[in-house]
Amino acid sequence: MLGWHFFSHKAPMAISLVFFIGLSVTAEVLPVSLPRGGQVSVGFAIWLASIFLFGPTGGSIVAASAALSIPALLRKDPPVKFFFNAAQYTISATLSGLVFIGLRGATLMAVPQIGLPADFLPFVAAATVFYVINSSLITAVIALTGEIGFRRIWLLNVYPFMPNFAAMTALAITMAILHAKTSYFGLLLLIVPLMVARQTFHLYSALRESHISTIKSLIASIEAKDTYTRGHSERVAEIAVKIGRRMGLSEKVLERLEYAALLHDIGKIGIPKSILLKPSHLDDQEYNEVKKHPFLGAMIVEEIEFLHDIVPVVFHHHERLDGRGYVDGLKGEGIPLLARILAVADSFDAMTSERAYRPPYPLEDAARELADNAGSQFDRNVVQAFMDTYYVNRDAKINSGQEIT
Amino acid sequence: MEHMSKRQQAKAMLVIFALFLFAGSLPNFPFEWIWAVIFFAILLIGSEFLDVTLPQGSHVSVSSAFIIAMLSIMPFQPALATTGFGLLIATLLRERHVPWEEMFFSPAKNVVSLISAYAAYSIFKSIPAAYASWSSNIGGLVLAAIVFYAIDTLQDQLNLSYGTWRFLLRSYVSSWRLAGTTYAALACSGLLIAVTYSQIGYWGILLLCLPLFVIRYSFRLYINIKRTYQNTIEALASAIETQDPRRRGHAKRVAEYSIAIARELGIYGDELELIGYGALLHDIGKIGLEENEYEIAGTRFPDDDQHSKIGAEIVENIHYLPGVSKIVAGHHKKHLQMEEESKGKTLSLSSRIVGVASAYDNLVNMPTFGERLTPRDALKIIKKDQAYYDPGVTRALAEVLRRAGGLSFRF
Repeated sequence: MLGWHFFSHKAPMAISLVFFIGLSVTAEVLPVSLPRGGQVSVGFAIWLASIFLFGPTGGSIVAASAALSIPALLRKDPPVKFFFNAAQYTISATLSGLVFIGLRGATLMAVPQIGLPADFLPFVAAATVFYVINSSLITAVIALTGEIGFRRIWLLNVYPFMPNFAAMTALAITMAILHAKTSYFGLLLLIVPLMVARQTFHLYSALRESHISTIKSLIASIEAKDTYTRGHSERVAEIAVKIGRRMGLSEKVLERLEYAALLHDIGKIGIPKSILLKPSHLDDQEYNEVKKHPFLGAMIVEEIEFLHDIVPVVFHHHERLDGRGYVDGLKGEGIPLLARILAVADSFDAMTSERAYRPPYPLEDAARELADNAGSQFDRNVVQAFMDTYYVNRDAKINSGQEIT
Repeated sequence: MEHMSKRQQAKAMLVIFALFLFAGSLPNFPFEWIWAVIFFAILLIGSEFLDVTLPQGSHVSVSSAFIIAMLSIMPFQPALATTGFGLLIATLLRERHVPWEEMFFSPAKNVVSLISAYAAYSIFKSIPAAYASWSSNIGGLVLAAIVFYAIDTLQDQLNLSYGTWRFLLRSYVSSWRLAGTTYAALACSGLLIAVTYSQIGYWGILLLCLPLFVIRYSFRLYINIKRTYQNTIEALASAIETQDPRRRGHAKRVAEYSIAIARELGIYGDELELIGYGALLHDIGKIGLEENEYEIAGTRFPDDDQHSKIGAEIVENIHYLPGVSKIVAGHHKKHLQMEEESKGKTLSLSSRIVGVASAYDNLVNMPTFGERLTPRDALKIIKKDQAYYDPGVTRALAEVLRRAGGLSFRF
């Protein structure tokens, strides 16, 4: 298809084309990192704008150049992936461009006159065609190579980006019209605010990272006073997130789970050290003191507005499915799901850590303990998810910090 | 106007001044701009509902982009009318129960900024912006935009500066540093709106609202996470105090005092922020200590004080807070002795500020150290102890307390 373009190539304003190739490469080099992993670039908007401006030929040159450009080389993609990307962008851009020309009759560079809003249709149609073909091709390839179904990949990778797609389309229309009407002046004015937004967003992502790492180091220093619980919260967070991921929770919810797990024992700070560090079993009165810690923890977390939604998770992490837990003695589904996950992760780490009055349980014994108490103390599904992650990864110790892939 | 505070009087004067300018522009109103006036007024009102509050209390809203756009395409009468009426309607819709000088403040402020910008432009160029061509015009427009934000920020800072002139310039600079890039982005967006309006028309501007909202969105995310970060440190610092109920609120109060003292001493911007964090975390090292070690009578500790050291080590791991571990490490050191021993290498000012603030709070608010003292008596004790407490910092504290009437104050 790229070959066909070379034969039918009618030099669509060479300088503009080079300018857009430059823009598109720059956009790929400067993506916006999202706080929960992943990146977004405005490349899509630039390719769409090129399709509007230059039609199928110019559009696919710009789009394919993105795939063949420095970032692809920097990422050191395998050649197959590299050529596949170039090919799928060419196909998507060509078809989209043909739709645009078919509906509008000419590219925006050839006929810059435009009567909005009546002329919106070709733009929206072309954008939709590009998006649908581009995502279908990628989804199909992933579905062919992996064992995950087409539908599931679509739901996971394509569906959540719909709002993004709408915004990119609006941006592409703006860029294309601006370039057709004002040449470079308007475009440059548009780039400045976009760069500033990117920079601000970058600061935001970095600070968000610092936020969780600051919590981690403060928690670590609180735990440092007790040799037996050192590193407990971070390990519980790791286990809980693995369980949650196995249960299919969204990344957004997993993040809340991580915060809840890191802070679940913060209330222990208000309990006298003489009780927490007692080398023998506690008497009733002392045990009642210890039982206050979810409540105290919830009070502390309550102070952090950003974490309001995890207050109940911290508050209920010692509930039991049969209602014999504390603080409220909630039963079954009445306990928040994240608290049920936290309970399993917490107990597992507690059992496999040394205590003043007992040695650590062997991992197998701790896992059996969880299995035996599934249904009475713990949620069956959560324990099942734990076992799945645990046995998938049975060679690696669960608390050794290895990633399950 | 007897019953009004100085700030209210200043606001009232600003409003009257703006009304005067406004009335002056009404004759010769060019009525062919009426549709543009309505269109921009709607945009302006809409954007006012999407403003972002900065940590110091001032607001940034995308409405200024629309004002810059009007500046570039209209003669000054319709631009002035749109700004004045649009912002007034927005304020009326948003907050109904505010005093009149409060209600008129934002429209009046923007009218004054806008007039200044037009004036700056006319000094630069004799042709009105609306009729000049884009390429020949750009220098004048950039100048006008800079003047607009300069005057606008100045009025905001005057409003927020607590009636003190001394540190106006400094807080002015710091607010530019925080929001400067946003102003640049908004000014560019304004010019962009103007270009789009003249080349494409109303629909083009609706398309452009998207990048404007993206800027606003990312800026708001950033400001929110900044607030969250501070919130979290505050909560965790007070969590440590639950070990001993009598200490409750100490960290937060020390942070308030420290920031007030630092402001008084002319510290601003990032350094001010770090002092706040240092003060919040100054006693974090106490989590490592036994309960009996925790309570040491008196307001001083030995130089090789353990909790400062532990605390500094903890804070060292927080990369977002560079330099705070030094504040924590030094907050109990003898200020004079340090100066002599290290030959001019003084204990950092931030540490000394936190040291004085903490000592003051111990004496005034904390039952741990015997009877609570009055602010006056506490100050006397701290003043006497010049070996421990930097007299300059103590003077600043005294000044802060005098102004606040010795009671509580906000930062």
